[in-house]
Amino acid sequence: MKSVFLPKTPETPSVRMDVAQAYIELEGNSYPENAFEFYQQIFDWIDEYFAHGADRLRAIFRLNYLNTSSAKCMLNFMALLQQYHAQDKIISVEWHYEEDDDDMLEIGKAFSVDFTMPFQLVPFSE
Amino acid sequence: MPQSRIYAKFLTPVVGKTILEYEGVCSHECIVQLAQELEHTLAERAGVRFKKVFGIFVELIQNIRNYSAERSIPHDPESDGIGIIRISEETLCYTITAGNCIPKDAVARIRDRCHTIKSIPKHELRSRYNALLHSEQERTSKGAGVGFLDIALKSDGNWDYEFHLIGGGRTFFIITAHVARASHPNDT
Repeated sequence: MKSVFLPKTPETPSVRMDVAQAYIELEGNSYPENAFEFYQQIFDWIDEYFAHGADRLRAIFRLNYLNTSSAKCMLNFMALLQQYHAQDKIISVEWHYEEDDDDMLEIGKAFSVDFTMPFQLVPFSE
Repeated sequence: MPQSRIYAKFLTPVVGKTILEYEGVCSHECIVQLAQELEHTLAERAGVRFKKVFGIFVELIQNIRNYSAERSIPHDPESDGIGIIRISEETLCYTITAGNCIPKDAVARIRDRCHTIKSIPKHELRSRYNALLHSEQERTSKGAGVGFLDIALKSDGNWDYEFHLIGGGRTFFIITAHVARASHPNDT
């Protein structure tokens, strides 16, 4: 099981999937041509990561902009993490948002209500 | 980019200053290029309001790409849609306008959907958005329903739509959204 890094592009976030440090981090914009295809590779990595016996994952989201297809993928992302949380894996989610960005805050708030895994809303200033 | 300015005449004339205007094939590469130009043009001027303008722009131009009846390869739904998009800067707001042809049989459905979303009180838009996001998780959906709600949210309800019969049995669909240049003191 290898760590993976996907570099940032104008329309996709950087994605760091780190096995040794047990975290996954996304940062940047997300409006890819095919959001489901882009996020599926990340979901596959998470499934494989836990299949290899990992017991924890810290998920860090620092997203600037999500189009609606990506927002749906984020919902699927949270559902996947919640699934592992329900299997007694130690999951924590950090949803970072620019402090004046009410759209990203509200998306994060909705996720924090929809799912029972530990979920932290973290404001930041540019 | 084969298009000349066919559709610009259907848009309301710009009141302020045009920041970006594009008419033609909306390929993914074109969308990314225009979005990058917009980021460079607006990021420092509009602050966090920029994200709303940017978000509406991306939703609208991706809608053109996905749903315009006029395709870069005629009758090929997998090819890129053709349309027009414009962003202008006015005294109090940024205005984003997009237009494209829609199929005759889609007019009633789109009109109903827009009318329904327009009738949602502003304070309910977020909960409706979340509910629709949950209900539209299937992979095949490109998210136009959620997209309209997202536009309504980002414009704080200041958006509108119109349809024009343009001959040859075609209908031209226009969405216009406004983003205030300063956030309202009562905004949450």
